[in-house]
Amino acid sequence: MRGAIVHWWQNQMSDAENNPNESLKNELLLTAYLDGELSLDERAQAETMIRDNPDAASLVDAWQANAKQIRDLPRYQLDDQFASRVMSVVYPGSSIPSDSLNTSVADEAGFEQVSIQTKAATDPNWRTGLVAILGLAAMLLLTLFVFPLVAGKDAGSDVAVAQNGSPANAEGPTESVVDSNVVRAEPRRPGLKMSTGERGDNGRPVDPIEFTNFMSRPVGAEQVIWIDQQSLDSIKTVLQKNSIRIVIEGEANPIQDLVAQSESGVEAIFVVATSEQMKQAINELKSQSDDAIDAFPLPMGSSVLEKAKDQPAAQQIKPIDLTDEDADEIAKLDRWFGLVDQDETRLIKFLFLINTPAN
Amino acid sequence: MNKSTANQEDQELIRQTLGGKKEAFGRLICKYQNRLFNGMVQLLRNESEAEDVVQDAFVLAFTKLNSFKGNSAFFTWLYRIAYNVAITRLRRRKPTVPIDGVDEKGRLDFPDTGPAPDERIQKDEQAVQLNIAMQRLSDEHRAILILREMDDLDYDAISIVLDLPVGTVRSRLHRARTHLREHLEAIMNKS
Repeated sequence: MRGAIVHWWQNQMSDAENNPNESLKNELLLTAYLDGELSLDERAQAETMIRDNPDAASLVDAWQANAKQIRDLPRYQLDDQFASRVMSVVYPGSSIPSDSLNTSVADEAGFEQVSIQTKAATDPNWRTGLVAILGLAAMLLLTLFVFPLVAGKDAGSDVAVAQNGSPANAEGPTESVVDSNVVRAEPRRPGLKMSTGERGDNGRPVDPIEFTNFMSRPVGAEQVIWIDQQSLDSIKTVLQKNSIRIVIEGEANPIQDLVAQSESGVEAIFVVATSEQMKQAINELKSQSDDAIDAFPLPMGSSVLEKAKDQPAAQQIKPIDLTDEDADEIAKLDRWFGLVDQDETRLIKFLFLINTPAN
Repeated sequence: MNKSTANQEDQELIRQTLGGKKEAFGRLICKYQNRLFNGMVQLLRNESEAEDVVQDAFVLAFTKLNSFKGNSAFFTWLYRIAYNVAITRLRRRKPTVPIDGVDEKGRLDFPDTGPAPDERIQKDEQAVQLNIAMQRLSDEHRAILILREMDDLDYDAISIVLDLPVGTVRSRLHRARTHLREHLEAIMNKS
C-alpha cells in the first residue's frame, strides 16, 4: 500500500509542478471528505476521485487507519476527588463530596462540609486558585454590600450600572455585560467630580478623577494584579509616584478577612488608574523585583474579551499571565490596556494582591 | 445523547450555576473532566501538568461563565480555555526539561487498562509507535489531530478552540496527517 501511496503522491507532485493549486485542492478535498465536511456536490466529486484513482483511495484508507489508531489510544482518567478539589476552589468553604456530584441536577441534597486539600494550596499554581477565590469573593462582597447602596441612587439614571453576572453572585443576571460607562468618568454620576484635566510634568493627569464617595459607587475590580515578594510600602510608593489612587485598604478593605484567612502575608488593596499610569507602575514594580507579577482579568472585565474579538487577530488578547521569563508579556498587557482604554480618562479598577516577603 | 440534547443540558447546568446552584457546576466538571484531561495529557505529554491545566481551566471557566453566550458548545468553549492555558505552559517549557512519563525513547506511560497479554502487546506496540510519531509532531499539529480524531470535534468547533479560520483548520489537519504518516513510516522502517 505504501508503494501505491508514494506513486500517487509522485503523480500529485508531478501535477503540482504544472498546477500546484489543483494538487493542493485535491488533497484538501480528500481531507475534508474524510472529516465529513463537504457539501453534497463536493462529496460526489471526492467519491469520484477515490473511485477512479485507487491511489487516492489508498491514501484515504491510510489516513482513516491512523485516525482509528489515535481514537484507540488508551484514555486517561482523573481520580474521583478531582471534581471536589475544583469545587473547593471555586466555592471556597463549601466543598462537595464527589458522590453528590454524580447525582441528578434536580437532586436538592444539601452540601456536606468536608475538608479537602486543594492543589491550589500545595502547588506553585496555588496563586491562580487564590486569585480566583479572592477575586470572586471581592466581587461578591462589593456587589452585595456596595452595589445595593448605589442601585437605588442610580435607578432611572442614564449611567449604566455593572450587571455583575458572576457565578458567585447567585442573584445576579446571567449575562455578563460590563458597560464601559461603569468606570468611565461621568460628570453626571452622583458622588463623582471630573478633574479639570490638569496635568503634571510627566504629562499624566494629576488627578484624573475625584472620588468624593467611592464606597457609594458600584465598584468591582476588573483586573487582579498579583505581586510576589514585594513589601506593601514599596508598592504604595510606586503607586503614589504614578499618581495612582489607592481607594480601599486596611480595615476598610472588604476582603480583608478573607485575605487573612486564606494566606498569611497577603495584602489586598483596591486602586484605580488609567492604563498609562498602570503600565508605568508595573514596569517600575517589575524593575525592582525579579519575582513574578501576574495579571488576571476578572469576570467584570469580560466585556474586554468580547471587544477583543472584534480586533485584528494580532491584537486579540487572552487572559494575561505575566512573568519575568516572558518579557513580551508586558507588550500584551499594553494591548490589553489599549483595548480597555478607549480614552485617557478611562479608569480601570484593580485589585492588588501582594504576597509580602516573610519577616 | 445527541449534540443538541447535550447542549441543552449544558445550558441548563450553566443557568443553574449562574443561579447559585453549586451542584450544577459540579455536574459540568464531572461530565467533561476526563475528556478534557485526556486531550491535555496528549497535548502536554505529562499527566501532572495536564491535571493542573484542567483544574485551571475549570476555575477560569467558572469565573468567566457569565460571558459564555452559548454560541458554541460548552465543551468547545471550555476546551479553548484549557488549550490556551496548555499552550502557555508549552511555550514556557525549557527545551532541556525532561517530560514526565515519557521514557528515553519518547514513549508516554499508558494507563494500565485494556486487554492482556498478546493482544495488548501488539496494541501497545502500535500505540507506542503512534505516540512517538505524535510526539514528533509540532504542538499545533498534535493539538489539531487530538481535537479531530480523539475528541471528534468538527471544523467549526476546532476553529473556535484554536482560534483559526475554518479553511486553515482543513489545511492544518491535512498537513498534520501527512506529517504523522511520514513519521509513522519512518518509525516502522526503523523498527
